[in-house]
Amino acid sequence: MSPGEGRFNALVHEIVEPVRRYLARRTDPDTAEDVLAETLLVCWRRLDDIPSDPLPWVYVVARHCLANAERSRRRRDRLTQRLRAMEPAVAPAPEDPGDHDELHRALARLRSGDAEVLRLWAWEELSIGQIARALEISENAASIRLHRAKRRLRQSLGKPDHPAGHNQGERRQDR
Amino acid sequence: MTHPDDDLRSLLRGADPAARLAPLQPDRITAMANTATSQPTSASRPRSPRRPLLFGLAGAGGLAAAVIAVATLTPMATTAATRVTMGADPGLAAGSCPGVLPEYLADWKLAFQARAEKVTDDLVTLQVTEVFRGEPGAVVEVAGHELSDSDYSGFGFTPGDDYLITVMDAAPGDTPQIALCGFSGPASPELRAVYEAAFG
Repeated sequence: MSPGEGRFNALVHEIVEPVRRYLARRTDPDTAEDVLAETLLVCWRRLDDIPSDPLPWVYVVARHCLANAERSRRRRDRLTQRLRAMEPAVAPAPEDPGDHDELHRALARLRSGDAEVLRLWAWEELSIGQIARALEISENAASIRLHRAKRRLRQSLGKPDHPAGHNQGERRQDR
Repeated sequence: MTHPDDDLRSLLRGADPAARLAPLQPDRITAMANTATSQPTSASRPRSPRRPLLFGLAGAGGLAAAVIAVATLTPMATTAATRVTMGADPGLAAGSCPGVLPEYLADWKLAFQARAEKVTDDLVTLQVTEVFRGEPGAVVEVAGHELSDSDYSGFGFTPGDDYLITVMDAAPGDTPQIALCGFSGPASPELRAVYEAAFG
């Protein structure tokens, strides 16, 4: 095994589970598996570009790969519809509502950018700096977007902006 | 010490669709890494003959007389990379370019966004970051880019910058062509909007 392969192997063991979960939260299992393989391939080809904190960078790669896959699927669906004159296919739901139907409906009502920043914050557990790198925006923009998304999610859920006693300094305490 | 958004975060985490995802076995992860490292990392095919071309763009909507500056492109069948040559004919006048409209791009076979990784005097290496149509591969190499000139509606490359590129269909027996004249160029919200409308 070459030094590069050894470094890549260690990287894959570090990132593969977070990236699998990132994709499982955003698409169906088959697409997630394909996109994970494509993401790892891009990481291998760009091994020298990967920063010391790799996950936000890898999430950007995964997001682009997923966008490509979704774009291909939409084209395929359109072609299938034309050929078979079928009713429009329903895109597979990436998330099982389970016992959290209300929350998933509230997330679905948000703008896609708001929902995504909330996912990165709560599910990927990224800091503001990492969210900014994953979305390729400034930290200030990430902080504002997260602040706004939290408020909109609370409104969508019919919850007060903040629990009692926590009305100040929200943005400063984002983490 | 509690955080004012702990309740919201807990609520979201409780609805995490990946919460029940079982971890992969270490040998499976190693196999995935090995699959990636077994793939080529860059183009290795010998260069194909290249020639600069002018393409007449015939079509409806007043485009019959429009001329587009193009660059030759050679898809690589055996690797993920694609070879491109930029070479606008000095006889092309900038005023002959048509407007950049989605309907002009819609039928072309390759469209992608890429980042300029390395720029030398005679070669630009692009890393494809998003594919709108076709299969350009992961890496596109552009030769002859120094010939591109704004007078011919070409554009230069800067390392780290992103570019949107479309490829025109080729005549039988000919190589495909990269469209210039504003159809390809530095990625901008305006050009991306055209691509989204044409290929989305």
